[in-house]
Amino acid sequence: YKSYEGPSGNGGLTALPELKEEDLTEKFARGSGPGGQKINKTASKVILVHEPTQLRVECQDTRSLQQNRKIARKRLRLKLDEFINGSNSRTSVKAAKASKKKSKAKARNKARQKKKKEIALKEEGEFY
Amino acid sequence: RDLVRRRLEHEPIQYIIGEWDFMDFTIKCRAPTLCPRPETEELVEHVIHQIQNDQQQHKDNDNNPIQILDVGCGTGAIGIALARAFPQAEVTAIDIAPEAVALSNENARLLQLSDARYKAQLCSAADFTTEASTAATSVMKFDYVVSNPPYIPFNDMETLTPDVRDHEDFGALCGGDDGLNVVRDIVAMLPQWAGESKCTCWMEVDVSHPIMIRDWIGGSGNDDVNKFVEYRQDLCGRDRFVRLEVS
Repeated sequence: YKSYEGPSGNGGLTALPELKEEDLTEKFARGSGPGGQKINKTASKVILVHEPTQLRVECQDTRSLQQNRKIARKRLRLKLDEFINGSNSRTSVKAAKASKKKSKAKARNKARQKKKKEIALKEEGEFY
Repeated sequence: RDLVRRRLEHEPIQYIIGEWDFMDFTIKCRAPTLCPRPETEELVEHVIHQIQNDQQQHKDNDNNPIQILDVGCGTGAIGIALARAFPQAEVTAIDIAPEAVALSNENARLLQLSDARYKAQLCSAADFTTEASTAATSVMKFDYVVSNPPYIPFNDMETLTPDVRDHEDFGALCGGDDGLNVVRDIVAMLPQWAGESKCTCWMEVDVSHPIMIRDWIGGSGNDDVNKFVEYRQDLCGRDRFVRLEVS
């Protein structure tokens, strides 16, 4: 699988590994009936498995089977990325960024609260 | 409660809600016009890949709009999907049911497709000659013909589940004794619709049809103009799609 270390020219994002169609097995909830015009079942669930890694995603996000197939592939690519690249995967990097952002905001808030308190105490002191 | 009652009477959910998703858009659905099936989304995917491949090969050629004909348009799903996928395409659509023609045009306008980009009209395949065409350009020179015609063989009609049998248009489902009545009309008209240049025809058909169509068209002496290119299975492994070509 193609995987890249470190940032590419993609704004710091590494390229996702490619999925080969021949490695994928798809299952649908269409059942064993005749299909086509004869059936009007609206089941649009897709189960997508990447055979070499046995990674699996399910998708029933939309009412369109074709859209769900596309979304399932995107999700499977992300899963494959995590599987191959571990801490360098796009989702890990994203999560790390988010948690860094969160802790920064928390620290800023703490500093702000501290300063407020100091000002309040100082003003109190000025009245006496 | 009324909605539950309707569902208990096997009314298709698409009619109850009044709309459903097809590919990446939503279309209005109304009885008795046939609700699009997932197989029809697959049909559209095949046509889209075909057109993209053809465009790749003729990059430097004309910038003329792609002319597409949707036979038996129903809700308009197929033609609308293709118009959306190819901004330079002009879609003409025909159906014998007035409700279908109205619904197709309604769906097209709702999705911001102008009259010039998508127009459905009341006409059967057999009657769709140059004189009958009311399309803006009165074009009878299509690059692609797509159809999901009624294709269920008559004897299979009684095996249908109640939601289909009791609520969806019989005329949109039954294709005569062998299910091929409308397919035959399309094949007969194809050379006329193609005009001077190459025309590719993709159809969704009954599982019994692709082999029959291949043997009928492919057979020597049967049809010199139309060429049977291939047939494909749907995602459930059934023979479902055929591709014909007129050069």
